[in-house]
Amino acid sequence: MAERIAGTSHLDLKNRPSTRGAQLRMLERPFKAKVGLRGGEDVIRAVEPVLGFALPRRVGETGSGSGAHAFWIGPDDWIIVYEPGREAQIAQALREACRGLHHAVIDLSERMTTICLEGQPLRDVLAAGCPLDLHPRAFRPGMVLQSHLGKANVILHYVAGNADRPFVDLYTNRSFADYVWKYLENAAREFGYEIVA
Amino acid sequence: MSQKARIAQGGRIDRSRTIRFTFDGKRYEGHPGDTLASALLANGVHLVGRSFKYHRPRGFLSAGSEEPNGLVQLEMGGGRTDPNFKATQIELFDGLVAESQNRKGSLRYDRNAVNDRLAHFLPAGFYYKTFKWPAAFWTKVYEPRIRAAAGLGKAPTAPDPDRYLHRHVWTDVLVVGAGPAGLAAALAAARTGARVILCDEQPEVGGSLLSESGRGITVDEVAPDAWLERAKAELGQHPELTVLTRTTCFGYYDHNYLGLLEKVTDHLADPPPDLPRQRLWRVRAKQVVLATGAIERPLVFPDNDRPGIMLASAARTYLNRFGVLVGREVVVCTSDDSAYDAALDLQGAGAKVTVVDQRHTPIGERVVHAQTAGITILRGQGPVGSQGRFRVAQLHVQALDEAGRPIMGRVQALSCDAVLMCGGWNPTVHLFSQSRGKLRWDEGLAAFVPGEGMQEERSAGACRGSWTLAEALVEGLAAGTEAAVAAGFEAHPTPAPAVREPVLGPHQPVWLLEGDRAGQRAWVDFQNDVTAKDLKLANREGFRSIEHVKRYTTNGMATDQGKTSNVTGLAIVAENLSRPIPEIGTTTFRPPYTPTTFGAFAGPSRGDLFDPVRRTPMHGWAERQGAVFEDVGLWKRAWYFPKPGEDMHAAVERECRAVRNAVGMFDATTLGKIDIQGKDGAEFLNRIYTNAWSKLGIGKCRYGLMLREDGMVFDDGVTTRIGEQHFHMTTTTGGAAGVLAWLESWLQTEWPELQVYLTSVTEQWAVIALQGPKARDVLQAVLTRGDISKEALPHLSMTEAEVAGIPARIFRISFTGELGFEVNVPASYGEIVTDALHRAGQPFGITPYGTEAMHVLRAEKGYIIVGQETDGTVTPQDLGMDWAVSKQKDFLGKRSLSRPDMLSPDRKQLVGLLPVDPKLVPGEGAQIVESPKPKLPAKMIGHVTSSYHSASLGRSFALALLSGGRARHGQRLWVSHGDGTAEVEVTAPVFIDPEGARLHG
Amino acid sequence: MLLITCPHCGPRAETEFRNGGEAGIVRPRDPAALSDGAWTGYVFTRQNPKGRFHERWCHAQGCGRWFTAVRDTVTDRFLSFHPAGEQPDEAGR
Repeated sequence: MAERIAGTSHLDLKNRPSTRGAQLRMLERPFKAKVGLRGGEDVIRAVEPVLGFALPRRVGETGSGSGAHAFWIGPDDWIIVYEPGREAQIAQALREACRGLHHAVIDLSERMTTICLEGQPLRDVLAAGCPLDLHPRAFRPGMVLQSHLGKANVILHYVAGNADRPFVDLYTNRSFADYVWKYLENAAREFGYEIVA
Repeated sequence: MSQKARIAQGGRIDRSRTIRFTFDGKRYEGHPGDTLASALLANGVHLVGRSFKYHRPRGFLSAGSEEPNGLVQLEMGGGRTDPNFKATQIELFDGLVAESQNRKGSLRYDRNAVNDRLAHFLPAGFYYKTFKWPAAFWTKVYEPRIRAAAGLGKAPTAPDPDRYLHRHVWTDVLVVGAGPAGLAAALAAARTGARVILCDEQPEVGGSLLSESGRGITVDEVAPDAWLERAKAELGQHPELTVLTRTTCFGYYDHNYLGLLEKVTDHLADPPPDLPRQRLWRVRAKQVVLATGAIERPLVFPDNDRPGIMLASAARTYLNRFGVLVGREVVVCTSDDSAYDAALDLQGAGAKVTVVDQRHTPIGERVVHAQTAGITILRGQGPVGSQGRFRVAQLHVQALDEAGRPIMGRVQALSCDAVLMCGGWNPTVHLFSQSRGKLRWDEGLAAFVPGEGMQEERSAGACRGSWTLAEALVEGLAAGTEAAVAAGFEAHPTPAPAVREPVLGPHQPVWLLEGDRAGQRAWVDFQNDVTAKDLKLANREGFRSIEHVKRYTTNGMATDQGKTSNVTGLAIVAENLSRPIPEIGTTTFRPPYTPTTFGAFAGPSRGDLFDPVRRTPMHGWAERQGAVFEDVGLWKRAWYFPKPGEDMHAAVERECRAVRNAVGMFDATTLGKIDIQGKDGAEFLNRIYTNAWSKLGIGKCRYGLMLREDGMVFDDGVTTRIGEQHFHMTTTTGGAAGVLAWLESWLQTEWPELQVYLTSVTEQWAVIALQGPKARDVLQAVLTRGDISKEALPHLSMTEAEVAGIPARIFRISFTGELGFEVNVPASYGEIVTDALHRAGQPFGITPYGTEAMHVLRAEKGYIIVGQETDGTVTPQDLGMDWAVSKQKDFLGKRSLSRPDMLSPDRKQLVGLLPVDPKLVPGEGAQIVESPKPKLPAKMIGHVTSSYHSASLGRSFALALLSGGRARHGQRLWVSHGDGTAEVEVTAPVFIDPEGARLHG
Repeated sequence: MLLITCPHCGPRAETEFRNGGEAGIVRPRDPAALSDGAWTGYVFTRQNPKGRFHERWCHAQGCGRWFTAVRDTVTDRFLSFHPAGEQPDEAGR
């Protein structure tokens, strides 16, 4: 019986070997709900009561509440991330709140997948292909930044943790997930990595 | 004891352990801490290479990265072989295997050594003059032979088995060079809390202090090595200070972007497999401190290139750092006080030392020490020649006049086994120069020093001509503090260390010491075999600009980049032209500072990480169906689905027949998709497509062409009105990213008043095309909600429905000319729905088809593919697509369509071609001519854009762009084919169902 | 590699950006009214100055916004950055 296809399906993570002495944990969460939101000040005012938290206004910022995170993507551009399965409901609620306003609400859950990284070396691993300043002084818990890893666009969300044990969610378009995953493995080899599938 | 030149104690080597290595097939021993160079010298090996052009015997000139002679090929097993390594930079490890380079036979009996006797015939530029005729000989005879005879090492032939990584890093302060100035700078900056990177090419920090005997020097009342230990201890106390050893800063680029090459495992006999061999650090620094030191200048005198003749500082390094005494009977030739340190140290180690000082009255404190120590000093004299075949045995010295010219008269022969040269020092300004900083000639120092800078950097210590330890420490402290403050940190004043050291006397350069016999050669550039005579010849032949002289003579070129030759060469040219040195200027210092492997630049971008490989959600399904894939941009697309025993031709025929007669299914996921929302969506489409969109009804689809402002087609696709203010656009697979960027640029910068939001949804949807007369039957069988009847869903319309329980957008679209549906489902369900359709289609003979069949099917209908029928020079009229071009409204590119050139009747127009031989398939790109055997050069009147065999037509056919093509229907023309031509008939570019009856079925 | 300051995201590596050529080329309001020469000038003719140059950049691997930068083509120094809709002044600031 055919199954839903994750970004890294082709890599068969269940049977893919980890290395010894792993300092980095990697796993894919392919089906998180992601809803794109575009709009101006009027849209911000309209949706914030629905979301229950303030939308971020500047680069690097996130807004969070009741299991959701809103990422700043551009000056009138956000992605709102929830646990899997809520995309249709959220999109509908946002659309209703924005009725009559210049806006766009769009389900992007299937466009992107999420690779979750955990462990002290993750900054160095990401820095193998990402030109952002990922130093703890520049990239802090709660922040989100867009850039590229090698030749793939990525969004990096510093979910939580401290400098010794950070958790970062990496979002990338689904067809780039194989590449990103292998890129990370290659960079993480010297630290050791554990694949959680 | 085999290491006969090794002294009993001292140095930074570990005598308790012995390392075995092989050079040119012979086994030797050394110690941990040695370089290959120091270990060879410890074993008394001075002959280590043959020169580039004349194949002269050569030994080590230096002990560092400026080494021009001691280049070796490293053999590391498993396909690993690396040429042109400087033996002075190779850390010795157990089992190391190195070979000398550029010899035919052995080093001692190099058959190409005859070149040296032919030197009269091989002056600078000889190959420009000699190997001109006949022209055909250049690539076939001259170049291969010259390359074989003159050259460096051998390039590896096997793929590089090693891994290389990159690391991007941002820092407040980058300090390049971990000598006294760099250490002082890094510590000063780190004390402010700034993020600091300190890098050095050596395996340990310390720079010149590693070679220091410490004679007569104290820093804060302790010996220099004690100060170094203190500094090292402090390095470890700053958490934001990163120390990178074995790391060369090889390039200084725009906006304080610098490249660092870290040699991670090159020094290890058995590198751990999980470590990369090398790591390229890509550093963005707010502030840079250059503390790159200085390189000693050789003296230019006849036969100054014999093994055993080396820089004075090198001999000192070999002694003090590696415990190797390079000679027992040593002559030190100098025009500078610094060489007296070498004289004193080597005498202290037991050598008999004579100093030949070109200055008439040297007055520095070191000179006095040497005199007190009983060293013979010949003042006002200089070297004018040498003897010794594989190692120097005799040095000829002569009295000099006040200008440094030898006075005719008695030549004294000094017997020796080593000659140490010091012609002063050149600040290592390479990185400063790469940063676009301007160099300034300092007459007092007789050296180029950093002048006006262009970036956020500063130099400290010897690299700005400050030779003393005290200056290095003071300037380093100041530079590090200043850099951190400039990066936004607060510094607390720290007193500079108190340094006691001998007082330096003035330096007095003598750039060229002419010999006592005509025709003698004095080397300027050791690596490229350039002599003072060559420079003179170039000047005599009219080369004035230093850049021209450099290229004509090759002085300062190649991997060496003139580290030991640039300034002496410049000074000699200045003398030849009787102009001051600053007027001559300098040549450009180019990155990399030292040779850097291609592997390091490529980093991870090789093999399956060279480019992303994009797969659709149905890739695995197609694999299981036996698909063969082709690359389309970064995507892997199913090309065709061969059954057992089928070749590509047979498979494509079968797939095409299935679509025309029954039903085929095709993965169209890779098409670009853009979601368009906002009240001005239709107006936006009016502006960017050639046709009109305002009246498109909800749920209706329309084909559109996009032009650039020059009027040329650049993308096409079908766009659908999902809602009053909501459109779904498709683009070509290859054009997806470019089209979105193009649309955004118009929206953001030209039409900000339009209320439109664009979002890429290419990857949100999996798209399965069902094409063929039975397509509706198949789709109906798995439809769980919705109406896809002919009436409810006519050609070019869309409905929201549910397929196999999955919400879907079903578009009635055809790219084959048959009844067709494109089923869009959320991407991760692509395989589930594909599988369901495939099962439901079995009774109808459903057949998966690939991109090849898709190409044939659409060409039979005359449907263009952007990038195949178009190449950026093709307009809608050229394609016969005026029907898609609005006469009423303006759109991007419209005005260009009425430029006179666009109206010319002989523009290339899209036509069909039917080869007279129905089995013959012309090549795509084949040129069209007007006669079977045209006179050359033939007039080419068009070319084939698409060409296939058609199962439906039972014959071959082609699409072509042909000059004045629409007026040529029915004509017989010829296309280039193999060595000749093939006859074709020009037709309309539609071969199947021109009325479109099937489409609307 | 240049360091480019996106007006929305701050200083970022050049690899995140796409260059869009000369800035300030305004599309004629009524192309049909233009002579062939004037239209050709708009489509094809661009400045290539030695010195100060207004150019378009898109933060393609970031916020996706187009903006204008003033760069000295001799030194490659950026003099200023402006979000879409904001004009650089005469001095390029």
